[in-house]
Amino acid sequence: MENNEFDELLRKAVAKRCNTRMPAGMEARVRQKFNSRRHISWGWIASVAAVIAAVIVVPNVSNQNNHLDSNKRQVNTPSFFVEAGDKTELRLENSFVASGQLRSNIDEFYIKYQQ
Amino acid sequence: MSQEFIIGLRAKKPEIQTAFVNEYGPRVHAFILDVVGNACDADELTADVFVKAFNAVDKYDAAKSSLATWLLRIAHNVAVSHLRHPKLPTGPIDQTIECAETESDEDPRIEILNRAINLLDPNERALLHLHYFENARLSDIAYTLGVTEGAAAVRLHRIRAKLKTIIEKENGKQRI
Repeated sequence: MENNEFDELLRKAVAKRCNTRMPAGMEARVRQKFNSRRHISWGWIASVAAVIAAVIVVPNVSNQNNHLDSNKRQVNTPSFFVEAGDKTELRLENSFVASGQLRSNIDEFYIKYQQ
Repeated sequence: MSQEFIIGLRAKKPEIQTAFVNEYGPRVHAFILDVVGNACDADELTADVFVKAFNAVDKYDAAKSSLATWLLRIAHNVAVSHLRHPKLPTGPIDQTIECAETESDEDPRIEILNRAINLLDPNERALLHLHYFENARLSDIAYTLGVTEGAAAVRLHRIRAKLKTIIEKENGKQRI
């Protein structure tokens, strides 16, 4: 088959494939999509803002919580250098625990001494 | 005219957008129909192409391509992307042939060629369309497909050879 004949055949075949016309009202469909995409873009902006807020705010809150937790841990450790407020009660409690331990140690020593 | 379109589209004038769709719509629709092979999908994707074009018109560079070539490049990307990740269930490719008007005195080899074209890669179908339907220059074909001119020329040569072999085989069978 000659190249020219083949090219002409191919041209006809491709033209036949595109024989269906574009539907009427395409411009209205495009306009509808274009406008709805604009709304979506606002939604997209809102969702991005939400993600940014989640990334920035949540770690800060959790850091604050961690800070509080670390304070609690500090409070719970027996210390006689706690200075003020409601922590005084804890200091006293620790003192009692310590004094009770001391007393039991003395009692034990006394029993051994007597023996 | 294309300069008026560019200015109007950048200003987002509705009447220019409508005129733009009416001017280039049939070409874009024909191109997508040829690549995708399904009329319903082609309608939807054609609308998508214009929406993308409206949104991206600020990036259009007249020094690189004509407005039509730029639009066909968007159409090519939309069509190929659709075939890779279909949002909607795509219909069988043969529907196109059923939709098309058939002529009784038509050369039977055209039907054979059409079946062979359906078996090609979407990029290959796009290339055939640009060459045989749009009569596009090789540089425009290369720009639309995102390849070099050399690569486009080689592909076109291979596709023609492949299709020619199919036609000649079929002719041989018919003679026997």
